[in-house]
Amino acid sequence: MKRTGNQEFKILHVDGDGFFASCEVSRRPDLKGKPVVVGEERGIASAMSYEAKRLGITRGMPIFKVRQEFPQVTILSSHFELYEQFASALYSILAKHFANVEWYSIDECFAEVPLSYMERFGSWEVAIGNLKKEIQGSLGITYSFGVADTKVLAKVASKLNKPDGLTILREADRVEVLARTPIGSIWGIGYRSAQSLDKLGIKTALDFINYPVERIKSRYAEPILAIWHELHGTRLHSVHTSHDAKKSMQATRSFAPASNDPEFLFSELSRNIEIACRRLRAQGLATKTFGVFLKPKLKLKARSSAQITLPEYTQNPSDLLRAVREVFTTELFNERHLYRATGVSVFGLVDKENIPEDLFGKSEAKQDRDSYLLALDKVSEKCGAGSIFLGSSMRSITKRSKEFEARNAKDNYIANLPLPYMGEVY
Amino acid sequence: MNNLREKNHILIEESPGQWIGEPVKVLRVLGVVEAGFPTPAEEDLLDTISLDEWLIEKREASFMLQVKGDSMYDAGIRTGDMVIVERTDSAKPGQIVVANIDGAWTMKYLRQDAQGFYLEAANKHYGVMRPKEDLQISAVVKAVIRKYE
Repeated sequence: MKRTGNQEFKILHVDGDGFFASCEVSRRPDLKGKPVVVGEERGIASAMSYEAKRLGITRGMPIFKVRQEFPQVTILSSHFELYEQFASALYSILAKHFANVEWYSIDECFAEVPLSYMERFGSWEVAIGNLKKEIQGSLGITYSFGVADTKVLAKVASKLNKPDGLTILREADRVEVLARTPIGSIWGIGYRSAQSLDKLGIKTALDFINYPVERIKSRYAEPILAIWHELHGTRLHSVHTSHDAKKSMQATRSFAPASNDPEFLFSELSRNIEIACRRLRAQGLATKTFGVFLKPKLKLKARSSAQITLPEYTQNPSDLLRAVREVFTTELFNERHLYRATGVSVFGLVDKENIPEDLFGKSEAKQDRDSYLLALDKVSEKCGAGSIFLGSSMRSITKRSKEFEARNAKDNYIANLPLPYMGEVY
Repeated sequence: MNNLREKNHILIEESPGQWIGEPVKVLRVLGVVEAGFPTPAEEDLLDTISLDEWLIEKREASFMLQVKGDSMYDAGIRTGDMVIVERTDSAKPGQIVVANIDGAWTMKYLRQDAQGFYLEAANKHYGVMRPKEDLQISAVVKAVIRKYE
């Protein structure tokens, strides 16, 4: 890992404020300034507006309980497509300004902001303030911005003045800020680590960085040690620029209600594999090693996963599916568990052109076999994604589209538009 | 990261950096129609532009709405049409704007007179709308799209 001097650039973290709820409210002007909870279709609150947070509603609260105790709250279904559209708009504005931008999660991005960028505005406050104005003026929702020397500190900074915050965390203020930051709220410190650190008397981030590094090293794994250094201002985590993230690709989708129907689960996997392979083909990439997983409904249970290495590089979903079929009942599926998501990650991606002849398209037969895929891609392009799919994905597609259509009809949402849909205008 | 996603209840994950939506279809611009044939050299000077790019100027600030009602009938905007709007805080009189009036989106002409800004329908059956306090304009209309079966 290359370490770069902190003087060349700082790290910006941009974090959505009650993101799903903000997106929903942005298309419902009648709900502006009102308590709103998102997650009706899942039966639990998955996001809430700050007005709802102030009432004491928390993430994970059952919807029936919200209804009972807070009748004044508006409860909405989620529209993930809409959130993704907002997410890509945020990413592309940042990518216009900075060369290195990481799309970290649906409502968060990191970016490396060079000092030369700041100097054009005279100060960090003005530089990031202008950027914030541009982003919020375009998207119509608020984000909290944090600037610091490391990713972990930038995450601390963006949290400091939520919502609609802008915090430049300077070296001079670092210690004071860490003193009032509970260690459990630091990015990468999970519930269990926080508990075990607490037993050592470490309550705040400052307690943590004052703890001798040798003792951290002997007790904890590498990631916790990295956090220790990052909180000291030593940059260990770099911004993983999203547009050249060629090494791996993921396709994950969840569903509600949870299911233990093996046919449905396999069909969900099948669909994800198709999506991943279509992306591979679109970018001229091929994979050889991939992982598939089923995510159980109960969070306590570890997800079951299998890593598979194929005999040769491929972009063909059938090659992956054949291998998954072999391990599905033995390594993945357990009928005693309910699952809420499936996914596939393809690794070690290579440009199709760079694969030696004997590895890719080894025989003419394989090339012939794969050529139909490109034809299928053309059809999909013409008739819409989902117009052609493998038989094994069938159940996933019919089930999903029925549920999806019913929900969209109910809340007047038009899906699959090229831009975020803001509702009806009179 | 997966833990974090779990905490946030992210349901659908896309790989980072991927544009959402289908790839843009490309229309070729074959030159301005004039008498005579465009020469290949002239044609090369013009780039291909997608319908997307042609309709959407500032993608990150652009949204779609569906029209209800006939208040903009005389401006050629009918119920069921889709409009592409761009968020802005600097709408000018004469533009068709989208404003938040009493918790609903309203699309009207933005006008200005001695009393200040007001909204005007493109339909003589509608009166003008004068704001009691300030007029909250969210976006300006950039395009109207009507699809026929």
